[in-house]
Amino acid sequence: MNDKEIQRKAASGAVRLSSGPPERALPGLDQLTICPAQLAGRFPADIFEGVETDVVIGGKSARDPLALMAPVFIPGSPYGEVGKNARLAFAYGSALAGVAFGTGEGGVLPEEAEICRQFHGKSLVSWGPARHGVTLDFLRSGDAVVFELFGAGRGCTTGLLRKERTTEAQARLWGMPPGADWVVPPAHLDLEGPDDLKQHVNLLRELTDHRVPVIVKLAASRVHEEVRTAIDSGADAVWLEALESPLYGVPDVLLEQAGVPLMAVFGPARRAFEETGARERGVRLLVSGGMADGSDVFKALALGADAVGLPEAARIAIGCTEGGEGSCHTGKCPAGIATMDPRLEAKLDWKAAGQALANYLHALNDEVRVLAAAAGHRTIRGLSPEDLRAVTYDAAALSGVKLAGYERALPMWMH
Amino acid sequence: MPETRLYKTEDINRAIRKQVGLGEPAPVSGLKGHDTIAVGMAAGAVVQVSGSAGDFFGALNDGGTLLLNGDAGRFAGDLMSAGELIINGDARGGVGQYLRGGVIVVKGDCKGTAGQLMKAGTIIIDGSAGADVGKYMMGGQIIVNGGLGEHAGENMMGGSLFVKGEVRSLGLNARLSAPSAEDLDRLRYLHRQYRFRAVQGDEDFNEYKKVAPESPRPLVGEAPG
Repeated sequence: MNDKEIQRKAASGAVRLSSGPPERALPGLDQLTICPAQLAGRFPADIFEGVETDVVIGGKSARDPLALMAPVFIPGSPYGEVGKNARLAFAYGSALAGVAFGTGEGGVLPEEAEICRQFHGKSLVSWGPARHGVTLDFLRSGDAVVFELFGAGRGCTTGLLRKERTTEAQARLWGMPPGADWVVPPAHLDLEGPDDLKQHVNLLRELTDHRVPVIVKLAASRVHEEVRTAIDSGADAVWLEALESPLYGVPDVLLEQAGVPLMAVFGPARRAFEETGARERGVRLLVSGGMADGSDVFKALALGADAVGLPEAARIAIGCTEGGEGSCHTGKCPAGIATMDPRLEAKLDWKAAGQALANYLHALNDEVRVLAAAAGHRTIRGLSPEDLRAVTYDAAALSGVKLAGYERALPMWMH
Repeated sequence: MPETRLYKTEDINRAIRKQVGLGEPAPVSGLKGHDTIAVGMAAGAVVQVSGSAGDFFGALNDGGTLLLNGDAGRFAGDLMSAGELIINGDARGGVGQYLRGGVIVVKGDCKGTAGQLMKAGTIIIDGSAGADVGKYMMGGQIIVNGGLGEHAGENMMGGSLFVKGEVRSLGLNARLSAPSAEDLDRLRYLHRQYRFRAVQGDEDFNEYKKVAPESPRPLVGEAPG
């Protein structure tokens, strides 16, 4: 029982807002270990001969598939939730590393577009429930369109962006009336049932003239059923945002309690992919939440993902010192990231921060290469759950990975 | 243009784009409920369709002039930002949701949920309009020349909803009032442009009622920003 929280509620009568990843202990990927290659199955690969880590999304349906040089991407942080310099750092850093960054809802800054042009950057533009800032030009500017199924906070109730918290610059980019509250609905108003997802995917393909891939992003919830629906929609990739993903300025109960942890998404997602033959049709699985180093990425890939989103790690790489603990939703970010205050924003040198992000992504990708070679793979496409063992019963139960010592999957996974 | 029932949406849209790219009107005949037809049209595009359109007809229209002689499915003119979309028939739900600009005219009835979260622009429904019209509306105007169903203007925060017929029930934060002289002038102007069937003489304008937000901040809660 949390006495302090009870006292806080008693004094204020208010729901607590929080930012960052959940604080409660969840079974993390560190409960899995990687099996080095020896006699059983394969020998280690020579890392000097190279390990392929590139990923292509939309290779079978888009005229311009999205090619990532590393199996990672930077999920979107809407302009307003973070300031201009943070956005530019994400765009610059991801371009230098040959991966993609997300825009979130709210449009693309002209400077971001210029960075993409100069450095061959790749953007993931969002089609979210509010559609603020979504124009034809915006949709067509992206290298992939992300259909975000839920609103702020993994499907929270309708909310307001209050006028006191938005700026004129944000209003201009978002195409919104300045000096007014902006509604954020919890779900797409033009999505009345699961079958409509297919309509939206088709609409996005028509609007972009079948040029770029369409990605459906879901909060990890009823994973098997919802991944099947997303696959059936004809999307090029399904992106699962796990409970460990950070949220910003949402009710604490939502941040802590709503969603399924990363470890538990892979089994049902793999099953949905196998049942539908999605892998053979070129559909990709993307995951995000709680991952930060090469071993996390390796494990996620071995469990069935094709690429990994790094929302929190990207903020830390460009200079966040709080790890989401406190000021993200107050607009007073001391690192100049989650703020629209020009005085605070000036603390972030976007070019240096972008270079730092690129350094981080390069190092992380090299870690993936080292681990893949150690596991006997010349390409990440060969990774499988057999490359892993669970070191706890919980991890084996949630992931279906063989339990170390027992050397088999737990009986519940044997049928 | 070819006989459309033999073609997929992708083929029809490609043919439309080719035609408007030549600077010529694109006629489409015999449409059989195809979804997402004539989406993302740019200024100068003229598309004339006969038959029944499926969902998302004319979505994200960015300045084109679109005419549908027939009924439309759901979400016609979704997230449209400029131009004109005329439906000479009925429309299923969700006409002009997320509208940012331009004019949508439905000459028949509309099933409901028109103009939800619209920010600007004009929607004219010559018949009746069903339930949940103008929910979360932030700006622009909706004119309904027939009746409105339940929850009209639910949680609207801006804009105006004019109705000539009966209002079955108002939504939260919506209040009914008489239109101002300026409002009536605007309605007269639109009538001159689009000929409302329900208006035979100037005295008919006296029957219009206005649904507007009670408060610009109706909702509790705050989204991240």
